[in-house]
Amino acid sequence: MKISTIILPLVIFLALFFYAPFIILGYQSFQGLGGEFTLDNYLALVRDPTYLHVILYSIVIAVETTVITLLLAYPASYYVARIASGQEKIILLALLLTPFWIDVLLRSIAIKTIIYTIGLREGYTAMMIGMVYEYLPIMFLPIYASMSRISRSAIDAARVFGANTWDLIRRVIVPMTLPGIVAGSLLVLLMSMTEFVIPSLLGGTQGFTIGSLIYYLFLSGGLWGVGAALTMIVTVMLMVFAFIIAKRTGDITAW
Amino acid sequence: MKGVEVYVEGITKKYGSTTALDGVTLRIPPSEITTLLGPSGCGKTTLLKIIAGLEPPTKGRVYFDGRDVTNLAPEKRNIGFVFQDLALFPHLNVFENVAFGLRVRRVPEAEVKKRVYWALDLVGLDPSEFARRRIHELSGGQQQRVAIARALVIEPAVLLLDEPFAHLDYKIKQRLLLQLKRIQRETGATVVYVTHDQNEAMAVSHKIAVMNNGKILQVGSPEEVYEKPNSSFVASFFGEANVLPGEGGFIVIRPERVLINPDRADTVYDAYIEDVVFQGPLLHIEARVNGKIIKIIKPRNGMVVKPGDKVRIGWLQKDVRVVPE
Ligand SMILES: Nc1ncnc2c1ncn2[C@@H]1O[C@H](COP(=O)(O)OP(=O)(O)O)[C@@H](O)[C@H]1O
Ligand SMILES: [Mg+2]
Repeated sequence: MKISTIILPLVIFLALFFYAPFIILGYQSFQGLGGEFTLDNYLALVRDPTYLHVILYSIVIAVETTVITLLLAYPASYYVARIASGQEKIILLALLLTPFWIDVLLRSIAIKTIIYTIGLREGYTAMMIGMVYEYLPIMFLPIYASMSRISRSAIDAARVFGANTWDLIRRVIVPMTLPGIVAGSLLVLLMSMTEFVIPSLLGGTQGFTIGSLIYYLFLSGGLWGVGAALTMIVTVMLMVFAFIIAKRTGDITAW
Repeated sequence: MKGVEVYVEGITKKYGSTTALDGVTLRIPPSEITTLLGPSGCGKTTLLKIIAGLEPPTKGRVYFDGRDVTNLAPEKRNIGFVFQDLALFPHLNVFENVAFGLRVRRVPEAEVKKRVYWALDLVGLDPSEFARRRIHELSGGQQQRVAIARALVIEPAVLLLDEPFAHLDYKIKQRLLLQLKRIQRETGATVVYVTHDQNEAMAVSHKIAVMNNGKILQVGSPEEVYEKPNSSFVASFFGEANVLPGEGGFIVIRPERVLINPDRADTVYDAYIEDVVFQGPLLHIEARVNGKIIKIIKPRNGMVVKPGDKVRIGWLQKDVRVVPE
């Protein structure tokens, strides 16, 4: 396979800082405490149902985040892309995207303050508020992009040929924004699955997710081998997902 | 099927400070082809969109067969529209693009198939070859035919075509124009055809409305508008014309009515030939009279003039048209 030279710098960067550590981690995941080859780290993950529990719990949070952000971002992107114009559009875009530029840690602390003022405490609800807030722009942007690409006359055409509002949404707008929906949903799903900062800061006792688990295994528990094995499983899972997505979006956007 | 009569009355359309249409009144007869002819930006597309209900007029009313439809939603008007940029649905194949209007009308599947195939046949696209194709796998001409099939399949009462054959090769355009006339005869639809090309307008229209700057300047059959233009703009935009200052405004004389070395003429000038261009069976001649260029068109047979020749040119008074502006 020939790697075009324009992507070479990126490939080197990724090789050094992502793929190399990944291989080292893979190596460690098969090492016992004395440095011998073993499958114990993986078996430990299977034997103790707590691990599986945490993984499933993280998936539930990720799916929930994806569904809520999709439901919020979709109509918003329709409004901003197709109805708002001029000044209103610029202001709305700025308002929607500003949180994106601010670091997640600062945002989480800000949310914490608000949550306390409205009488909530750390827990599932607070965590979900934080997650939705964090991932909304990531869901919004690709959908907004595909929404903007729909030509005005395609919508005019649908209307003239007899489409009522429901037909218009079902037969034109949703299918034409499908690439954006797929891209946004998968980005949010995959990124939120290993989110660490928000669950730890806002989740309280409900905040123990894959991210926290890996953190615990490496830094508090001293269980490097098991941590490495878990990281491997999650990363491989995400990579498989990423390949499926790349292929699917390739198909969908190939109009 | 019989088409509806469309009547637009006193239509004004403003976009901010731009006036796209300025008090347009036009009766579009049922089951005929009426052409809106005018330069780019004169308001043709805007008028079609108002007829379709896609834009509300700032002022004025729209009637279908005498019924006021000004506030009727576009999806309730039973209109076929071929958009200037076609506006085909990129996510649907040819079959589903054409079927769109039938699907939203909840037509049964068997009927959908029958009518889509009928419409594809009508525009000369073999369904067995094209039905499953993607839009981006078609040539420009094929896409235009899909757009026309999509508009015809619903058997619209009014068919609006916005420069449907622009950007096509001359030959394909001629063929599609003939097909359009045949389709219109077969379906009996009321057709409004928009173009900035006078040759298309002449080829296709029962009736022509010449537009400029958001106004309709003249309405009539192609012959009427050609023979009796009411302004120098109409004369120059529809057909070639010599427009000369004259009594009470301007005189218009068509190039083919200018005589060279006439035995008998009401007006005669000395001229000399500047240029001669062969255009198939016709010669396009430019003659200079008192520093002004007069265009002349003559059949090629027997005509021997060449650049530099000194000639007399003239015309008959009956061939001259006086216009106020
Ligand atoms: N949506 C719009 N917003 C602002 N101005 C418009 C809009 N649509 C058309 N116009 C203006 O109205 C005038 C007529 O446009 P149009 O009807 O498209 O002309 P034509 O189809 O004859 O080329 C033009 O000056 C154009 O710039
Ligand atoms: Mg136009």
